[in-house]
Formats: sequence, C-alpha cells, structure tokens
Amino acid sequence: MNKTRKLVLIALGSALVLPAVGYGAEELLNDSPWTAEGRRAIRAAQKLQHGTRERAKNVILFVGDGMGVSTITAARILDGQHKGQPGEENKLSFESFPHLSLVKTYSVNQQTSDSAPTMTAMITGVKTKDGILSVDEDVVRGDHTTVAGNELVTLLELAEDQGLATGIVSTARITHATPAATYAHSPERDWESDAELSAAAKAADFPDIARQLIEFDHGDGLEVALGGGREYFLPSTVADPEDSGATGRRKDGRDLTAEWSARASSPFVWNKAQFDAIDPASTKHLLGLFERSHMEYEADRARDTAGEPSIAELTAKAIDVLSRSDKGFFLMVEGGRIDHAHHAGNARRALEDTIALAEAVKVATDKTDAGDTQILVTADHSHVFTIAGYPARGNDILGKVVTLDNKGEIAEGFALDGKGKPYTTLGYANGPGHRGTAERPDLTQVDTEALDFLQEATVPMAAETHAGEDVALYARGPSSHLLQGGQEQTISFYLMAHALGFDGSRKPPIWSRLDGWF
Amino acid sequence: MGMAALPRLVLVLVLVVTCAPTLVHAQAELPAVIARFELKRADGSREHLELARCPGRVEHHFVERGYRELWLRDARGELEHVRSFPRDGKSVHYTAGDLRTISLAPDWSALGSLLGASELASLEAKGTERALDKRQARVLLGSLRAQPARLVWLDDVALPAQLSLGRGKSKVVITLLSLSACTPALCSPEKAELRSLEFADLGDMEYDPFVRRFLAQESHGHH
Repeated sequence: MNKTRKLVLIALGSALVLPAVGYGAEELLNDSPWTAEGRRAIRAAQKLQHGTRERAKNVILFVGDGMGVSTITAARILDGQHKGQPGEENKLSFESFPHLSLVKTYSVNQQTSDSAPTMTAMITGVKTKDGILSVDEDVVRGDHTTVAGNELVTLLELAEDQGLATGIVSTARITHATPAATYAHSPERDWESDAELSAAAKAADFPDIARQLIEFDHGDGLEVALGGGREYFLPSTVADPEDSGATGRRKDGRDLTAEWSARASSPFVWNKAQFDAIDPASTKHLLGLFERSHMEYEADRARDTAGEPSIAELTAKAIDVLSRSDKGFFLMVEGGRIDHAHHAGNARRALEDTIALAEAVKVATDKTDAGDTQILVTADHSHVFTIAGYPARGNDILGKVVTLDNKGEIAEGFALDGKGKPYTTLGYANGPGHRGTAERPDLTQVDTEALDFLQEATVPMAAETHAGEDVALYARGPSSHLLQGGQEQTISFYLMAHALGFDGSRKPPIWSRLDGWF
Repeated sequence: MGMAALPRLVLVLVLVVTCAPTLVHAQAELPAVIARFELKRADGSREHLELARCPGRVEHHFVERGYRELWLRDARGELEHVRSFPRDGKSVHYTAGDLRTISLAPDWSALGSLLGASELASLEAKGTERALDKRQARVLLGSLRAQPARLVWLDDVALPAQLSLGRGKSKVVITLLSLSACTPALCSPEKAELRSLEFADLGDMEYDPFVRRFLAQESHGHH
C-alpha cells in the first residue's frame, strides 16, 4: 500500500471520529476533492441528527416507474456528461437528500412485481397481489365481486379526509397503475375505462378507474390531476381535440372531463398553452390530460402536436395550486415512462426521463421548505438494466466500452469481447435488444448514442422485464430521519402518514389495523 | 391467433415493405386504391392480401388469417400503427413515440406499394407487357432479398401486377387480382369492436394470455 492510500484511509477514519476525540487531523488529510466531500457529508449529517422535525404540513411522493439503482446511476452519469463533466461524480437532485433506505419490492405473490402491488404497498402500507389496485390479497384479480370489504385506505384518501389538498401528476396515463392506486380500488389494473371492464363488472356497474377519479368521494375530491390518458375520459362518440380522426374510448357516453369542469373553478386543459394560462390563485380543481394515452417521452416532447408541459412544469403548477390549502397537501408525482422505455430496451429514453424526473424533484425542493414538507423519491420496481465492462472514467455512458491499459491510461480503441467485437456499457439481461443471430453484431460503426438505439439483450424477449432487486428510497424533510436500513416497500406509507400526523386524535378505520406502529 | 408465424412468402413481403428506404415515391400521396393480391407458393398453397391505400392511411389485410395492419400518417409525417387480431378481439396500438422507441420507421410509400423504392430501382427494365385489365406495365428483372425476381410493375398506381421471387420449391408469386378505387367510406371505416391495447403497456401485461403469445411471437420475429 502506498503512502497516499494510507493517508486516505487515515483521513477517512479520522473524519468519522473527529468530534469525539477532538484531535486535529487536518495535517493527516490529503488535500483532495474526496476529502472535502467526505468532511462536508459528515458535518451535514451531524447537523441533521439534531434538527429534524417529525410533523409535516405537506408531503410529496415521487415515483420513478422502473427507476432501479442502475437506472439512477446511469442517469446521473448521463446528466453529468450533458453538462460537460465526466459524469460519475454528478448528483441527481434527490441524491442530495439526507436519508436513504433500500426497500424490498416483492408482492404477496410475486418475487418480481408489477406496478400495481408495489404502488399499493407504498400508498396503503399493505402488500397485495399482482395486477390489483389498493385492495388486499383476498381480492381475486378480475373479479369485482371480491372487492367489497377488501379495499385498502390510501394515503391520498386519508389526506382528503383530514382536509388536505391532494394531487397526482404522471407522465403516463393518470389511470395507469401507479397514479390509479392513490385514488382507485380495482381488482384489475387494466380497467381504466368502462370499455375495459369485464362483462360482469359492467353489468354490476362496477366503476372503472377513470370514473373512480371523477367520482372520488373523500374530502372535496382531488385538487390536481395532470398527465395522459384523455381517451379514457371521453366517449367513443366524441372526437379527440388534438388528434384528428381519433375519439375517446368510453362506451357509457359520459364525458368525464366535462363532469370535472362542471364544478366551479375547475378547468380541464389538454395542451401546453391552456396549461400555461392556468392561474393557480383562482383554480380549485385542475384536470390536465395532454395525450390520448401516455404523454410523450421527454426526448420526444418537443415533437408533440399540441405541446406538452414537462414533468417539472407539471409539478410546479401542481404545487402552486395545492399550496392554496392552509391545511397542507399531499402530492404524488410519477415519472411513468422510464418503465416503458426500459421495456422497449431503449436506455437513452429511459435515462432522459429519469433526468426529467430529477428536475421535477429539484423544482419541488426549491418551491417548498424542508422544515414543513417531506419529499420522498423512490421507484416501484427495478429493471434488468446493467452497467457493465470496465469503462474508463468519463467514458460516454451510452457509448462502447473504452477501458484502461495496464498503466491506468485510457487504452486505444474499444474493449473487445471474446470474439473481438466491441460492446456497450449499458445493456439488458433480456428484451428486444437481443439480436437473434449466432454471432453478436459488430458495433464498431454503430452509433450507440443514437436516441433510437436498442441496447443489446442476452435473452430474446419482445418486452424487457422488471427486476426483483431492492430499490432506493430517498427522503428529505420531517420524519425523513426515521428512514433507516433495509425496509419493506410499505415503509413509504408509514413515513408519510407519520409525518402528516395521521396517528393523531382523528383515527380513520385504517388505524385499527396499524396499532403498534406509532 | 392470427399472428401465428407468417409464411415465408408473406414474411418476405412484409420485410420488403417495412425495411425499404425512402427514395423514389417521395412523400407524395399515391392514388387511393383497394388492391387484392394472391400469394402463391411453389407447393400450391395460396393466401390473399388486401391493400387499402387512402390519403394518410394504408391497411394490409391478411385475409385467411383474419389479421390486419393499419398505418396512419398525420400532416406532419408522424406515423401510428395498429395491428388488429379480430379472432382474439384485440388490437395493439403503436404511437409515433412507440415506433421511434423500437426503431420502426417504415417508408410510407413502400407501405402503400408493397415494394420499396430502392428495391424497385435495383431492378433492370426489360420491356413492357399488358397486365391486369390490359394496363400497360413495365417488366423488371433482377434480384430482391438475394433471390431472383421478376416484377411486372404498374406505374400509374405504383403497385406490382405480379412479382415472382425465388426459384424451385422456394418460389413465391404475388399476383394482383383486382383493383378498385378507395372510396371515402372505405378510407374511414367504422372502428372494429376490438379491445385496444397500447404497445407501451404490453411489458406490464405479462399475465395476459394474448399479450404473452403476442410477445413470444414478436421475440421470435425480432431481428
């Protein structure tokens, strides 16, 4: 071990015990950026231990759909490289949050889960089965008759019941699993409009998910719902306002956007200009549906016909509307298309959407006070997305691996596989990026940084899959210091509920199940 | 399910359609027509393909399979794609963003002509002959997809009157059986009562039997 390495080790050890033993270790420490960063982190943590409140006025939950740890790492590097840096040392906004846990994403019947049970876990504090939304494990998927009595109370419902303002934002359809779990109870995540209901459910007038949003009967209803999914709210007889030739998909003839707008000061908007014209000071309930289905990927947003706000702009507007509430608010924001781009095996779009989500978190952090607003950032599940090889520091994260020589200098040319062909840093364990030939393709002349490039995948599958490892949960604000170690995914609910004081004098029915938690 | 492995003949056709680069037909709209083709293999088996070409809209109907592929193009040149499986009561919808994400960027003109511009340009003119309804047609010879090809091409409607590909047991012949004008009604047909699935959602529908079969078929067919 050389002298420099020894000194670094001493420095790290000293930094950890400096306050206790009080000896001046300045002279022992190397003058390096790592030393300064290490000291800054320790001192920041020392301050946090003594100053964190437990009660919050507001809570914001950010969910990156499919935003596993490898996605965060790669997005961090890409974001840094966009800024002209090597990238590895960069931080996405939420990586500066003081508290972090890893959470386990299994569901009642899945080792690797889909978004329905994972969001149910986060928003109700109870794990459930695949494909069902905010109902417990006694519900049979697709059987509406098993729902009654098995509904789980969601944090959003609790917030409305307590008089808080509530909102949801998603770049996916707002009837998609993650946002839907906040306000709907359904035995089938795909029942987004009445056109998708089973015949039996339709005959029994079981409400589809879009209808449950409009008919939401807690408090005074959601104040904000922004995202995609317009056709699920419009009848099949009504032309879509943006896309000529297209119509809604509802069979019951109901125009749910009109029903939303029938309330006072409750506009419905579907394009960027209308969105920009919204004055939060005079808006009670805001519905924005900017696409027939999911909103555009961030990388494609500028091409949208009528224009779409970014997820950061949606978040800012949502906070402005919700902040009118004296009692505080609960907001859920989903970066919903990270998951879709991964399923397509298209890493660049997934990473650009992750960066966009981080920008939305930055907006929320800037617009709120850490003293009264808890912010959580997490994922529902991961993807089989890998960062592989031994690329040199600063190597293009979307590029082919360029490694080091035996002197630690950047080697000439690309690193080669066993057959003498270059390979990319990013890849998938399965998915459409499988090239289907006996030999790997020669990527030497291929632009792997291109927006539409599909990273190679080992196992041929038309849709890349979720992954089962833990995901990260980042926290800032009141009660965030209670986040410790490895946790069940349900911890998000208890952390938010505790911060909002829902364990106080007014006990909704859910608390009978939670005695002992607080 | 109508999406069972496409026979080699149809597969060749689809590959030609979807992979051809843009050159000759440019972006001008081709005449609105409905064309009915017969696809005949060397073993005598036959299938039929109906092509409906209207402004901003091209539909391929694989008759015996009950399977349809619809392509829509808006004024800005953005494409959407719908694959319909009436026997399953389902359709799969690809938005412009979905198509970009999976690098599916077919040449619009090739979709409506069955042959791409570069394929057409690669063949050598060898005279003329009369084809369907005594129309004047050009005869072109050469190689397509590494197979010997003889094409009888109708310039006025930009469609093949006949295309012979391969030789011996691998030979396939595509013949235009009929041609009619595409009426406004046919260009805006009533929506079939199919359950529409979004392509972007399929990765989260892994337990749906139709989706499972669809994805399995797609993974086999993916290059």
